[in-house]
Amino acid sequence: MRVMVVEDDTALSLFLKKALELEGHTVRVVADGVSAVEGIQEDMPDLLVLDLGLPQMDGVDVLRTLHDCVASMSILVLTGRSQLSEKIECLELGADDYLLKPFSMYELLARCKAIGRRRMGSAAGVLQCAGLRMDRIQRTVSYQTVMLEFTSKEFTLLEYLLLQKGRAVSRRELLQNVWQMSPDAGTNVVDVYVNYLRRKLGAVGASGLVQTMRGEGYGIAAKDKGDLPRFNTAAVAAGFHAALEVA
Amino acid sequence: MKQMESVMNSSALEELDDAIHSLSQPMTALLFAVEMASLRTTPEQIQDALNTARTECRRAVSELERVRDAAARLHTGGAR
Repeated sequence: MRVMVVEDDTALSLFLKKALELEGHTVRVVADGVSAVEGIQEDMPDLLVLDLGLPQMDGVDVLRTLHDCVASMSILVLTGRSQLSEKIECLELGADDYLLKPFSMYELLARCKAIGRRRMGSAAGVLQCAGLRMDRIQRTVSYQTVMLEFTSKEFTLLEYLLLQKGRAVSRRELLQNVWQMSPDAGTNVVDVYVNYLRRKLGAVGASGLVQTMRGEGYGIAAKDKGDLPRFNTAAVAAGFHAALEVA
Repeated sequence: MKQMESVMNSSALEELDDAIHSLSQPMTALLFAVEMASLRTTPEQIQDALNTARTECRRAVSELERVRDAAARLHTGGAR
Protein backbone atom coordinates (compact mmCIF):
# COMPACT_ATOMS: atom_id res chain seq x y z
CA MET A 1 0.00 0.00 0.00
CA ARG A 2 1.01 3.62 -0.37
CA VAL A 3 1.20 4.89 3.20
CA MET A 4 1.49 8.39 4.59
CA VAL A 5 2.81 8.63 8.16
CA VAL A 6 1.98 11.86 9.99
CA GLU A 7 4.13 11.99 13.13
CA ASP A 8 6.05 14.92 14.60
CA ASP A 9 8.42 12.83 16.74
CA THR A 10 11.44 12.40 14.43
CA ALA A 11 12.78 9.18 15.95
CA LEU A 12 9.37 7.54 16.02
CA SER A 13 8.50 8.60 12.46
CA LEU A 14 11.75 7.03 11.27
CA PHE A 15 10.92 3.75 13.03
CA LEU A 16 7.38 3.75 11.63
CA LYS A 17 8.74 4.32 8.12
CA LYS A 18 11.33 1.54 8.45
CA ALA A 19 8.82 -0.95 9.85
CA LEU A 20 6.22 -0.27 7.16
CA GLU A 21 8.85 -0.46 4.42
CA LEU A 22 9.94 -3.85 5.77
CA GLU A 23 6.41 -5.04 4.95
CA GLY A 24 6.75 -3.76 1.38
CA HIS A 25 4.72 -0.56 1.74
CA THR A 26 5.74 2.69 0.06
CA VAL A 27 5.99 5.27 2.81
CA ARG A 28 6.20 9.05 2.93
CA VAL A 29 6.46 10.93 6.20
CA VAL A 30 5.23 14.39 7.13
CA ALA A 31 5.61 16.05 10.52
CA ASP A 32 2.59 18.34 10.87
CA GLY A 33 -1.12 18.49 10.14
CA VAL A 34 -0.98 21.20 7.48
CA SER A 35 1.61 19.28 5.41
CA ALA A 36 -0.51 16.15 5.79
CA VAL A 37 -3.63 17.82 4.40
CA GLU A 38 -1.66 19.34 1.51
CA GLY A 39 0.09 16.04 0.75
CA ILE A 40 -3.17 14.07 0.78
CA GLN A 41 -4.93 16.57 -1.47
CA GLU A 42 -2.02 16.29 -3.91
CA ASP A 43 -1.65 12.51 -3.87
CA MET A 44 -4.00 10.43 -1.74
CA PRO A 45 -2.37 7.44 0.00
CA ASP A 46 -4.09 4.08 0.49
CA LEU A 47 -3.44 4.29 4.22
CA LEU A 48 -2.96 7.28 6.49
CA VAL A 49 -1.14 6.59 9.79
CA LEU A 50 -2.05 9.68 11.76
CA ASP A 51 -0.70 10.80 15.12
CA LEU A 52 -3.15 13.02 16.99
CA GLY A 53 -0.76 15.34 18.83
CA LEU A 54 0.61 17.36 15.92
CA PRO A 55 1.91 20.92 15.58
CA GLN A 56 -0.01 23.53 13.55
CA MET A 57 -3.12 21.39 13.08
CA ASP A 58 -3.79 18.40 15.32
CA GLY A 59 -4.87 14.97 14.07
CA VAL A 60 -8.57 15.45 14.85
CA ASP A 61 -8.58 18.69 12.82
CA VAL A 62 -6.83 16.86 9.97
CA LEU A 63 -9.69 14.34 9.96
CA ARG A 64 -12.26 17.15 10.04
CA THR A 65 -10.54 19.00 7.18
CA LEU A 66 -10.33 15.85 5.07
CA HIS A 67 -13.92 14.93 5.77
CA ASP A 68 -14.86 14.66 2.07
CA CYS A 69 -12.09 12.25 1.13
CA VAL A 70 -11.67 10.09 4.25
CA ALA A 71 -13.86 7.39 2.68
CA SER A 72 -11.33 6.93 -0.15
CA MET A 73 -8.44 5.96 2.12
CA SER A 74 -7.92 3.88 5.24
CA ILE A 75 -6.94 5.67 8.44
CA LEU A 76 -5.08 4.35 11.46
CA VAL A 77 -4.90 6.81 14.35
CA LEU A 78 -1.99 6.82 16.83
CA THR A 79 -2.18 8.57 20.16
CA GLY A 80 -0.54 8.81 23.54
CA ARG A 81 -3.83 9.66 25.26
CA SER A 82 -6.45 7.12 26.17
CA GLN A 83 -9.59 9.25 26.46
CA LEU A 84 -12.66 7.38 25.25
CA SER A 85 -14.25 10.55 23.85
CA GLU A 86 -11.22 11.15 21.61
CA LYS A 87 -11.33 7.56 20.39
CA ILE A 88 -15.03 7.84 19.51
CA GLU A 89 -14.57 11.20 17.81
CA CYS A 90 -11.80 9.85 15.55
CA LEU A 91 -13.80 6.76 14.59
CA GLU A 92 -16.83 8.94 13.85
CA LEU A 93 -14.69 11.20 11.68
CA GLY A 94 -13.71 8.23 9.51
CA ALA A 95 -10.75 6.50 11.21
CA ASP A 96 -10.69 2.72 10.69
CA ASP A 97 -8.64 1.82 13.73
CA TYR A 98 -6.91 3.31 16.76
CA LEU A 99 -3.58 2.46 18.45
CA LEU A 100 -2.59 3.68 21.89
CA LYS A 101 1.13 4.44 22.44
CA PRO A 102 3.30 2.66 23.37
CA PHE A 103 2.56 -0.14 20.91
CA SER A 104 4.61 -2.92 19.37
CA MET A 105 5.90 -2.76 15.81
CA TYR A 106 4.24 -6.15 15.25
CA GLU A 107 0.87 -4.86 16.40
CA LEU A 108 1.13 -1.87 14.07
CA LEU A 109 2.00 -4.13 11.13
CA ALA A 110 -0.80 -6.58 11.95
CA ARG A 111 -3.35 -3.77 12.15
CA CYS A 112 -2.14 -2.31 8.83
CA LYS A 113 -2.50 -5.75 7.28
CA ALA A 114 -6.05 -6.10 8.64
CA ILE A 115 -6.95 -2.66 7.29
CA GLY A 116 -5.47 -3.68 3.91
CA ARG A 117 -7.59 -6.84 3.87
CA ARG A 118 -10.76 -4.87 4.66
CA ARG A 119 -9.83 -2.36 1.98
CA MET A 120 -9.45 -5.11 -0.63
CA GLY A 121 -12.68 -6.72 0.51
CA SER A 122 -14.69 -3.56 0.00
CA ALA A 123 -13.03 -2.52 -3.25
CA ALA A 124 -14.97 -2.14 -6.47
CA GLY A 125 -16.44 -5.22 -8.16
CA VAL A 126 -15.02 -4.21 -11.52
CA LEU A 127 -11.40 -3.16 -12.03
CA GLN A 128 -10.35 -1.51 -15.28
CA CYS A 129 -7.11 -0.31 -16.81
CA ALA A 130 -6.11 0.54 -20.38
CA GLY A 131 -8.80 -1.56 -22.08
CA LEU A 132 -8.53 -4.41 -19.57
CA ARG A 133 -11.67 -5.15 -17.55
CA MET A 134 -11.79 -7.50 -14.57
CA ASP A 135 -15.17 -8.47 -13.08
CA ARG A 136 -14.27 -9.65 -9.56
CA ILE A 137 -17.71 -11.05 -8.88
CA GLN A 138 -18.07 -13.08 -12.11
CA ARG A 139 -14.30 -13.72 -12.10
CA THR A 140 -13.97 -12.83 -15.77
CA VAL A 141 -11.32 -10.76 -17.57
CA SER A 142 -11.56 -9.15 -20.98
CA TYR A 143 -9.24 -6.97 -23.02
CA GLN A 144 -11.27 -4.63 -25.25
CA THR A 145 -13.78 -7.17 -26.64
CA VAL A 146 -11.74 -10.36 -26.17
CA MET A 147 -12.35 -12.63 -23.18
CA LEU A 148 -9.23 -13.96 -21.46
CA GLU A 149 -8.79 -17.20 -19.52
CA PHE A 150 -6.69 -17.14 -16.36
CA THR A 151 -5.99 -19.78 -13.73
CA SER A 152 -7.07 -18.96 -10.19
CA LYS A 153 -3.59 -17.86 -9.11
CA GLU A 154 -3.04 -15.79 -12.27
CA PHE A 155 -6.39 -14.09 -11.66
CA THR A 156 -5.46 -13.28 -8.05
CA LEU A 157 -2.09 -11.91 -9.10
CA LEU A 158 -3.62 -9.69 -11.80
CA GLU A 159 -6.34 -8.58 -9.35
CA TYR A 160 -3.74 -7.58 -6.77
CA LEU A 161 -1.71 -5.65 -9.34
CA LEU A 162 -4.85 -3.87 -10.56
CA LEU A 163 -5.82 -2.97 -7.00
CA GLN A 164 -2.35 -1.53 -6.45
CA LYS A 165 -2.43 0.23 -9.85
CA GLY A 166 -0.07 3.18 -10.03
CA ARG A 167 2.71 1.86 -7.82
CA ALA A 168 5.47 -0.71 -7.95
CA VAL A 169 4.68 -3.87 -6.00
CA SER A 170 7.69 -5.76 -4.69
CA ARG A 171 8.13 -9.52 -5.07
CA ARG A 172 8.07 -9.76 -1.26
CA GLU A 173 4.66 -8.09 -1.10
CA LEU A 174 3.29 -10.33 -3.86
CA LEU A 175 4.61 -13.46 -2.13
CA GLN A 176 2.95 -12.40 1.09
CA ASN A 177 -0.39 -11.20 -0.24
CA VAL A 178 -1.00 -13.36 -3.31
CA TRP A 179 0.70 -16.59 -2.24
CA GLN A 180 0.44 -16.09 1.56
CA MET A 181 4.10 -17.11 1.76
CA SER A 182 6.92 -15.65 3.80
CA PRO A 183 8.38 -12.65 1.96
CA ASP A 184 11.80 -14.24 2.43
CA ALA A 185 10.87 -17.50 0.72
CA GLY A 186 13.57 -18.28 -1.84
CA THR A 187 11.35 -18.87 -4.85
CA ASN A 188 10.92 -17.38 -8.31
CA VAL A 189 7.19 -18.16 -8.40
CA VAL A 190 6.30 -14.46 -8.76
CA ASP A 191 8.44 -14.02 -11.88
CA VAL A 192 7.09 -17.24 -13.36
CA TYR A 193 3.47 -16.14 -12.87
CA VAL A 194 4.12 -12.62 -14.14
CA ASN A 195 5.47 -14.27 -17.31
CA TYR A 196 2.29 -16.36 -17.60
CA LEU A 197 0.21 -13.18 -17.29
CA ARG A 198 2.30 -11.36 -19.88
CA ARG A 199 2.07 -14.25 -22.33
CA LYS A 200 -1.73 -14.28 -22.10
CA LEU A 201 -2.03 -10.51 -22.19
CA GLY A 202 0.49 -10.36 -25.05
CA ALA A 203 -1.65 -12.69 -27.14
CA VAL A 204 -4.37 -10.01 -27.24
CA GLY A 205 -1.98 -7.06 -27.68
CA ALA A 206 -1.70 -6.01 -24.04
CA SER A 207 1.79 -7.31 -23.28
CA GLY A 208 2.98 -3.93 -21.94
CA LEU A 209 0.35 -3.76 -19.20
CA VAL A 210 2.41 -5.39 -16.45
CA GLN A 211 5.64 -3.44 -16.19
CA THR A 212 8.92 -4.40 -14.52
CA MET A 213 10.40 -1.69 -12.31
CA ARG A 214 14.03 -2.65 -11.87
CA GLY A 215 14.89 -3.05 -8.20
CA GLU A 216 11.30 -2.37 -7.12
CA GLY A 217 9.09 -5.13 -8.54
CA TYR A 218 6.12 -5.10 -10.89
CA GLY A 219 3.32 -2.66 -11.50
CA ILE A 220 0.45 -1.50 -13.65
CA ALA A 221 0.46 2.19 -14.52
CA ALA A 222 -2.51 4.23 -13.30
CA LYS A 223 -4.00 5.07 -16.67
CA ASP A 224 -7.61 4.32 -17.60
CA LYS A 225 -7.55 5.57 -21.17
CA GLY A 226 -7.68 3.28 -24.23
CA ASP A 227 -3.94 3.31 -24.89
CA LEU A 228 -1.61 1.01 -23.05
CA PRO A 229 0.44 2.86 -20.46
CA ARG A 230 3.94 3.70 -21.64
CA PHE A 231 6.94 4.40 -19.47
CA ASN A 232 9.78 6.62 -20.51
CA THR A 233 12.80 4.33 -20.06
CA ALA A 234 14.99 7.11 -18.68
CA ALA A 235 12.30 8.02 -16.18
CA VAL A 236 11.85 4.38 -15.14
CA ALA A 237 15.32 4.55 -13.63
CA ALA A 238 14.22 7.53 -11.57
CA GLY A 239 11.35 5.56 -10.09
CA PHE A 240 7.88 4.28 -10.80
CA HIS A 241 5.93 7.43 -9.98
CA ALA A 242 8.23 9.67 -11.98
CA ALA A 243 7.70 7.34 -14.91
CA LEU A 244 3.93 7.63 -14.55
CA GLU A 245 4.08 11.39 -14.78
CA VAL A 246 5.98 11.18 -18.08
CA ALA A 247 3.66 8.53 -19.56
CA MET B 1 -10.28 28.66 48.58
CA LYS B 2 -11.80 25.31 47.50
CA GLN B 3 -12.30 26.68 43.99
CA MET B 4 -8.66 27.73 43.84
CA GLU B 5 -7.57 24.27 44.97
CA SER B 6 -9.70 22.65 42.31
CA VAL B 7 -8.22 24.88 39.57
CA MET B 8 -4.68 24.03 40.74
CA ASN B 9 -5.50 20.31 40.82
CA SER B 10 -6.97 20.42 37.37
CA SER B 11 -3.87 22.17 36.04
CA ALA B 12 -1.63 19.58 37.73
CA LEU B 13 -3.74 16.80 36.23
CA GLU B 14 -3.36 18.35 32.80
CA GLU B 15 0.39 18.53 33.30
CA LEU B 16 0.47 14.88 34.35
CA ASP B 17 -1.56 13.93 31.28
CA ASP B 18 0.87 15.84 29.04
CA ALA B 19 3.88 14.24 30.71
CA ILE B 20 2.43 10.72 30.27
CA HIS B 21 1.71 11.55 26.62
CA SER B 22 5.31 12.71 26.14
CA LEU B 23 6.62 9.56 27.81
CA SER B 24 4.67 7.37 25.40
CA GLN B 25 6.73 8.68 22.45
CA PRO B 26 10.18 7.39 23.50
CA MET B 27 8.54 4.24 24.94
CA THR B 28 7.11 3.41 21.50
CA ALA B 29 10.40 4.26 19.79
CA LEU B 30 12.26 2.10 22.33
CA LEU B 31 9.96 -0.85 21.70
CA PHE B 32 10.48 -0.49 17.95
CA ALA B 33 14.26 -0.18 18.40
CA VAL B 34 14.40 -3.41 20.39
CA GLU B 35 12.06 -5.29 18.04
CA MET B 36 14.05 -4.14 15.03
CA ALA B 37 17.33 -5.07 16.74
CA SER B 38 16.09 -8.66 16.91
CA LEU B 39 15.86 -8.63 13.10
CA ARG B 40 19.49 -7.51 12.69
CA THR B 41 22.22 -10.01 11.92
CA THR B 42 25.67 -8.38 11.82
CA PRO B 43 27.46 -7.17 15.01
CA GLU B 44 27.62 -3.61 13.57
CA GLN B 45 23.88 -3.54 12.92
CA ILE B 46 23.18 -4.89 16.40
CA GLN B 47 25.50 -2.27 17.94
CA ASP B 48 23.71 0.48 15.97
CA ALA B 49 20.34 -0.79 17.16
CA LEU B 50 21.57 -0.87 20.78
CA ASN B 51 22.84 2.71 20.51
CA THR B 52 19.45 3.81 19.23
CA ALA B 53 17.72 1.93 22.04
CA ARG B 54 20.01 3.64 24.58
CA THR B 55 19.14 7.08 23.17
CA GLU B 56 15.42 6.32 23.43
CA CYS B 57 15.91 4.98 26.99
CA ARG B 58 17.53 8.28 28.02
CA ARG B 59 14.69 10.22 26.42
CA ALA B 60 12.18 8.04 28.31
CA VAL B 61 14.01 8.61 31.60
CA SER B 62 13.89 12.37 31.17
CA GLU B 63 10.16 12.23 30.35
CA LEU B 64 9.65 10.02 33.41
CA GLU B 65 11.10 12.85 35.53
CA ARG B 66 8.33 15.10 34.16
CA VAL B 67 5.74 12.50 35.17
CA ARG B 68 7.21 12.33 38.70
CA ASP B 69 7.18 16.13 39.03
CA ALA B 70 3.59 16.35 37.84
CA ALA B 71 2.51 13.54 40.21
CA ALA B 72 4.30 15.22 43.14
CA ARG B 73 2.52 18.49 42.32
CA LEU B 74 -0.79 16.67 42.34
CA HIS B 75 0.01 15.22 45.80
CA THR B 76 0.72 18.67 47.16
CA GLY B 77 -2.57 20.01 45.85
CA GLY B 78 -1.18 21.53 42.65
CA ALA B 79 1.34 23.89 44.29
CA ARG B 80 4.65 24.44 42.41
